[in-house]
Amino acid sequence: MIPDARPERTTELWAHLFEGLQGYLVTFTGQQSDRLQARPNELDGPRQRSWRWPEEKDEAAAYLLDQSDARRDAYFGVHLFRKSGTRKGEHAGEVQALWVDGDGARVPRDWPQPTAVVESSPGRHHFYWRLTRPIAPDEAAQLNRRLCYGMGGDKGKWGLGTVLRAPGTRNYKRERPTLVAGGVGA
Amino acid sequence: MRSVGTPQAWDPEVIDQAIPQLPKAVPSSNGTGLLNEPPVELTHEALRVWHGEKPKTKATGEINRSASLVKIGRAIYDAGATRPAIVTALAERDEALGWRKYTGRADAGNRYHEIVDELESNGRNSRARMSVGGGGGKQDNLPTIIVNNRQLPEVTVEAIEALAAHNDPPEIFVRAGRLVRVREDENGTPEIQPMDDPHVKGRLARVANYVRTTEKGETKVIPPDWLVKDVGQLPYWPFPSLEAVVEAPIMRPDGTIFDTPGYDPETKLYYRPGEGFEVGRIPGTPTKADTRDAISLLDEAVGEFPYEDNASAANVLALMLTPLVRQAVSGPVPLALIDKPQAGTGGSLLAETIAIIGSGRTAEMLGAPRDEEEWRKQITAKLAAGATMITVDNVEGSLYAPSLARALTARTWTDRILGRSETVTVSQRATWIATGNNIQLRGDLPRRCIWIRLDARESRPWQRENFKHPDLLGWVTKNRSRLVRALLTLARAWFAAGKPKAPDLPRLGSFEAWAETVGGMVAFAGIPDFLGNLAELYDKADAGGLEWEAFLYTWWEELDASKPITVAELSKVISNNDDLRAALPGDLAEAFDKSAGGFSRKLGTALAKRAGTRYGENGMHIVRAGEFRRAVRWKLELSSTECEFVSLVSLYNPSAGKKLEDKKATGAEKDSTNSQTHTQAETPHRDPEAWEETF
Repeated sequence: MIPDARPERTTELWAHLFEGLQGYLVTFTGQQSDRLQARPNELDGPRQRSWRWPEEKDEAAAYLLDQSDARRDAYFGVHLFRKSGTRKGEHAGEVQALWVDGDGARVPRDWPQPTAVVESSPGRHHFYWRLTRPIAPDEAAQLNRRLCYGMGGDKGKWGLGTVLRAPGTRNYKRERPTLVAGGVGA
Repeated sequence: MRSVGTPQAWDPEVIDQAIPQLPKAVPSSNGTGLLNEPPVELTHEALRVWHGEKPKTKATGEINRSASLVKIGRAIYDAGATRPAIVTALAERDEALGWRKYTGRADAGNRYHEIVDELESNGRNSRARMSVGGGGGKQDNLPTIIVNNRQLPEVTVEAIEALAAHNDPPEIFVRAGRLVRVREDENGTPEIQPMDDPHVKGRLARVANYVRTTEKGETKVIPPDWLVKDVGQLPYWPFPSLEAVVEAPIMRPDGTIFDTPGYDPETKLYYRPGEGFEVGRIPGTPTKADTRDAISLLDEAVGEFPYEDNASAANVLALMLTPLVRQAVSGPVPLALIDKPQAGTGGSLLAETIAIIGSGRTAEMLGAPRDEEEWRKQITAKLAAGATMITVDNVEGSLYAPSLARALTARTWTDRILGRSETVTVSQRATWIATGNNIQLRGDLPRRCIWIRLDARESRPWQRENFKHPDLLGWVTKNRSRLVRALLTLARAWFAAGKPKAPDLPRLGSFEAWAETVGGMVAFAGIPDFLGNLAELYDKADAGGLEWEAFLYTWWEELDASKPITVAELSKVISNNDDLRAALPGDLAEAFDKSAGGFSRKLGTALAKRAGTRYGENGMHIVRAGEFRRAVRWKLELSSTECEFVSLVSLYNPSAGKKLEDKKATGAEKDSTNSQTHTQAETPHRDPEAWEETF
C-alpha cells in the first residue's frame, strides 16, 4: 500500500488560510449531473456540511476525500463562518486570506504574489494570499473583487460564500477527472 | 514546495496599494444605459431570457454564466439570428448583464463562436434525429427465417448468415471473445460497446424477418430469446476482429497510411474521425522542407514547455509519434514519465496536449491507485474499453505498480471480469503516460519508462507569460489535423528513406522495436538525443542502490570484507566505526538511531535481501558464507569481469542416450549394482571437437 498523503495536503492549505481563527468550515460536494441537457459542472445531489474549526479539520478533510473518491466534486468554503449550517455572506467570519479563481489567468508579476496556489485542472489555478492580520469580510470581498478583475479571473468567485475545490480531490467537471493539485507556497 | 522570496503572509494595506481599482461601470453599447434590444424579434419568454431574468444556475446557487450565455444564444438562434449577430449579441449580453464570463479575454470571440457551434450542431428548434442504425432498410427486402419446428443450430446459422450479409461495411466486431459494436455517445465520442442480448436482438431484428409457420399461415415475430442467446454465446463468429477505435489516421506496419474512415482489416482498427477532421494526403516521400515545416509546427504545440534537457524534448516527439505509428511497432511501448520538480510546471498540460493530438481527446485517466488490486482492476477496465492513450495523472511520491509494469511489456492482458468468474483477454496496445512531481519509480518500472523532465527553473512556473498560444489546448484542438499531418509526415519520411537506424541508440530492453521505430523517426527528423537521459532516469530510480554501493565499498575498505562476519559482529563494528555508520543507507541509518536490536534485525534482513545483487563497476556483492553457531555469516566479493554462463550446449552429453540404451539393455542387473554404474555418464562432455562432430 502506498500511503495517501492527500489529507495532509488539504489540511495544510486550510491551516494556511484559517490558522489563528475560529469558526465553522463549510464543505460542499455534488455529483456531475448525468442529465443529457446538463451543462458542465451542473451538480446533482448537493451536500453541505459545517465543521468546527480547528477541532474537526481532520474529519472534514477525510470526509471531502471520501466524497471525492465516490466521484463527487468536493469544495470548501474559502473563509470561516460564525454560524453552523449556513454559507450566507452575512454569517461570514473574519477573513485571514484573500482568494481568486484564476480560471486560466495569471497573477501579474508586479503584484504581491500569492502565498498558496491550487491547480484545479491543467493550466487553471486558484490563488490565495494569506494576510498578516484578519480583516472584515466585506473588506476582504472588495479586495478579492479588485484582485479578480485586475488579473482577469473568474468574476463569479470573489464574493463571500464562495467555495473552491480542495487539493487532493478530483475534478470531475472535465471529460476526464483530474487531481486538484498544489499547496502552500507552491 | 516553499518558494523563496514570497512572504508567507501579506499586509492587507500592501495588497490594497499594489492592485488596481475596479474599472468604472461600462454602459451598454447603445449609450443609453439601457440594455440593448435583441437582434431579432423574440417571444415574451425568450425576451426574459435575453434580459437575464431566467439565467441558468449551478447547484451552488450562483449563476452559471456560460450556460446562461448559451441559453440566450439559443433564444435568438431559434428566432432566426445569424452567426455574426449571435456572436455580437453574446458579447454585448455578457458585459451588459455583468456576467463578464468572457468579456475582456483575448479568446472571447472564439468562446462566443463556440457557443454558436454548439447551437448549430444541435440544429434550430429541433433535436437531431436519432438514427436507428444497424442496416436493414426496408423489411420487405430482408430474408425470412422460420423459427418454429426447426432445430436450433439451423435457425442460428441462418441468423448469423443474415448478420454477416449486412455487415459490410463492418459494424459488428469480435473483441476479447465477445461481440461488440462501435457506437457514439451523445457528444460524438466513439466507443466500443459489448453487445448484450438486447443489442443482439435489435440487430437480428434489422437483418431478417422472423416468422412462425402454422397450418393457417405465417405469423411475424420478433427474434426469440433462445435464438438471441445462442447467437451471443457461439464460440466463433464470422465477424472481423476489432482492436481499437482511433480518431486519427494511423501508419500501418508497411508504412502506408490508413486514413479512410471505417474499418481496416490489416490493422484491425476502426478509424472514426471527428466532425470536420481532415488530415489530407500525406506525401509519400516527404522532402526536407516538409520535415522542417512539420518540426516547426509541432514546436508550436510542445516547444514552450521547460524541458530540462534535449533528451526530454526528443522523447516528447517520440511520445507524440507513438499513438500514430503504434501499429508499425511490433513490440510493447514504454511508459512516458512526465516528471517535474513542482506543481504548475505544465506536466499535465503537456500530457493533455499529446493526448489530444494523438487521440482527439484527453487521455483515459488513471488515478494512481493505492493498492495492487485496484491497479489491476483499473487497467483491465481501461484496456477492455479500448483505450488507446492512458494517463496516470499526478502521481504522488513513489510509483510502485507490478500490474502496470506487467501491462507495459504485455501484448495481451488477461484478467478476471469484476463480479464474474470469467476472464477477459484484450490486446494491450495503449500509449501510457504518467505525470507527477519528482516521481520515484520503484520495482520493475524504471526499465519500462522513458523520461521527460520539465523544470521551469523558477519558483512560480505557473506565472510564465508570453506564450505563443496562451490557450494551448484550444489551439491544439483547432489545429489538430495539421499537427497529426506533421507527425505522419515525419513518420513517412523515415519509411521512405528505408527506415534508417538512429545512431547511438541506447538499448531499452523489451522495447527495442519501439525504440528503433520512433527513435529512427525522431533522429531522421534531425532531432538528437532520443533516450539520452536513460542513465539519469536509472540513477534517479536507483537512489537506494547508490546508497548500498557506497555502504558496501566502505565496508570493503574498512574491514577485511572477504572474511565472513555475522550480523551481530557487523553491527558492533558499525557502531564503533564512524565511516561505516555515515555510509549506512537511509533506512538502516534510521534504524541505527532508534535501537541496537532493531538495527541488527533490519541489517540481517537487508543483507539477505540484497545478497547476489551487483553494485558498482566492480560488481561488488554480498555473499552468504555459511553459519557460525546457527548465525548466518556474510562476506563481500567482487565479480570477475568474465562470467561463465551455463547453456544447453555446455550441458550436452552426446553419449548419454547411448548409456541409457546400454542401461536399458542390461536391465535389472545394472540397476542392482547401484549408482557406480552411472559415474562416467554423469560427467558433461566438454570436448569442443566432440561438439563439432555432434552438431
